[in-house]
Amino acid sequence: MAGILPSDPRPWPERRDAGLGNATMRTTIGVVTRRFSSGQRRVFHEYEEAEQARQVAVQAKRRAVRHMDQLIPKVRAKIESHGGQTYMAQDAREAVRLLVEIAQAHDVQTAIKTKSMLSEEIALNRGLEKAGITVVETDLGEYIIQRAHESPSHILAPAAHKNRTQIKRLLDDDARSVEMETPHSEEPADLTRFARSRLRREFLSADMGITGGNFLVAETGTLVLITNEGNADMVTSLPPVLVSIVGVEKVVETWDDLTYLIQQPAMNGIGQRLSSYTTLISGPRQPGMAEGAAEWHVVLVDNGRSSLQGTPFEDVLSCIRCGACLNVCPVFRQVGGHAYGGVYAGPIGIVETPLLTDLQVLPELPSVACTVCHACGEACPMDIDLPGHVLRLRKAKVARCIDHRSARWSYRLWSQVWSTSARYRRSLRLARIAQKLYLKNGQLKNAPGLAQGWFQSRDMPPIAPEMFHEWWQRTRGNAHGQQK
Amino acid sequence: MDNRNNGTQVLVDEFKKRWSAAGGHIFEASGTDALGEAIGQAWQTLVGPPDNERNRSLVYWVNEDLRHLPWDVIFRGVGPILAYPWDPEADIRALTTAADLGMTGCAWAVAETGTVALAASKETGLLPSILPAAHLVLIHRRQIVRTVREGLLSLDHGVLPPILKLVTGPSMTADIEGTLVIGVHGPAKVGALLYDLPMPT
Repeated sequence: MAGILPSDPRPWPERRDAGLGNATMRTTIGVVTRRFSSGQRRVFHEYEEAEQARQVAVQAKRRAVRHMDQLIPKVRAKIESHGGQTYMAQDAREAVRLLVEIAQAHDVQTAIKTKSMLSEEIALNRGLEKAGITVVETDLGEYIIQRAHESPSHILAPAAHKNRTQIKRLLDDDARSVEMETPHSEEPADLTRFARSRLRREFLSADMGITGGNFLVAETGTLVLITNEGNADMVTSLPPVLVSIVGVEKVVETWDDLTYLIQQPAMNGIGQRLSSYTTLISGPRQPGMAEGAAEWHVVLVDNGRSSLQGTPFEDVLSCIRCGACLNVCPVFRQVGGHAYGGVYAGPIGIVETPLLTDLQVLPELPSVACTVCHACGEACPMDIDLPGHVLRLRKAKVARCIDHRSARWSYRLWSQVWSTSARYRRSLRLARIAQKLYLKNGQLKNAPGLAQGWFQSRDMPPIAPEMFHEWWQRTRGNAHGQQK
Repeated sequence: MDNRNNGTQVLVDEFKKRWSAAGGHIFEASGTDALGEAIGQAWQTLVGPPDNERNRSLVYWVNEDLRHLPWDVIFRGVGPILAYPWDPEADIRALTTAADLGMTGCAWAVAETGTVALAASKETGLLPSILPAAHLVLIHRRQIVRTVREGLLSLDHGVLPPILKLVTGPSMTADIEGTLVIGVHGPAKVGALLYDLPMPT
């Protein structure tokens, strides 16, 4: 079954140009992506056993996504044996409905939340707010963009498109709305200090906590959450009710598998051996304890994932959301996350968004947002064949006639003409005459039809007065012989 | 015996290097008599000098091997501090929120990553490690293992604690313009106090 994913209604050229025109975003994205990707290289270089652990981790994830159907009942039974409750949602709508029901059953007014790409995917906050429940994002970057009613522009740096002045203004407004003193200055340290005390109030008073999950271990029923800020620790220890929404592909089989996987997000995402906080939840609070939620609900979400099982795209499900492919992508580094128009940006996004939705949502991405440079394929710690999938998706689109009719028509004509040498030669002779219309200072500046787009940012040398095959026919390669 | 000590020393050195690299402070005490002085140093570094305006406070629990010590006396030596032992029955959340320092023991620590593991239970709460602005963790030198994997496998994973937490450095963010800021929701300052006990003969 196809998943439901939100998308930006603006067409790609508009989204792309908005990204290219946002100087703040481009500066910050440049700094962040380069720091993260050089960090990834450095941490592996300095850490002898890391590469071996990574390979074991890849095998563990591959095994898990292949056997998802068996692992899901296993992990549900385990969590329930520890006193947790579990649910299965087939798509985004069902997942949101389940969360609203849980919140309403507990009279929840305010929920605090950790960063979760899945919650963006199912548009959870909108759903909860429609039901009258206030959701407060607690990851600093997410908190900032929530104030601006925007979506994240990088998996690990959601507010990378905002500068300090813009952020100060957003936090000033928020401070006034809750009658707090505004941040002292626009220095990142002062803005962060404000967010600490502002969100501390919410942590201590919220009725419900919502988390995503990096891994869910079937053998032990353990949810793993990774943060640098410590917000997941607050969200999992303070409110009386905890709800964790987890994609079905996050389930791994054994505790032993986890020991190889647990460092992968930090090593590949930010170039650290571990993030500041790794939190492992294995059940609700036990009698006599002063922390932890009294009730723990785990909502497993499919939303199109299981439709990839057994297809050539199955390895996409082993993504650990580290962001390594975004950080090295030359397209992402220029246009930033919002240009992609979906929840998932960068190489994984252009592959995953169309795949999860049976090519219904943002099917243009594999064609327009990839130069097939293969940098993502090299950076991906889970060895996902991202460049291969981009090409496979382009083929699938042609087979299913998804591209624009004029594009299809142009490509068909092109392939017909260039599939015999006689027609190929005739086409070039024709083009040599026709190019006179488009020549300027000895360079080809434009062309008719679909080829126009290609020339928007490039020139081309003109077709030579004598082409190679003409020269060959005349001389048979024997230039001297001809002179005799 | 010597080999074991050498092995421990290698792990301790690696832990100190990694924990410091992640932004943590290191304190050491050889024998229980030296603990008071080390905690005093940690207090100075993590919290600062005494404040005449108000009483400073801490919430604490320690590993079993240190529970017999006269903690009231030890803290009195550090300065005018209100020290609250971890007690899930008391209004511990408010006390911990107001505390200047959370002091805890740990389940184990990892040399290769500079990590400490805390397991939540009735006696060993995790709130002192996240709510106050500073956290000091007391680690017996022999609690240090080499890898995260070793630590995780040392747990009886048939009965895991409801919350297990791996701490590797202070709370931090780079969410504003990619600038690193220490101390977001959790503590801005974290210290590890490595101690040793005389071997029972």
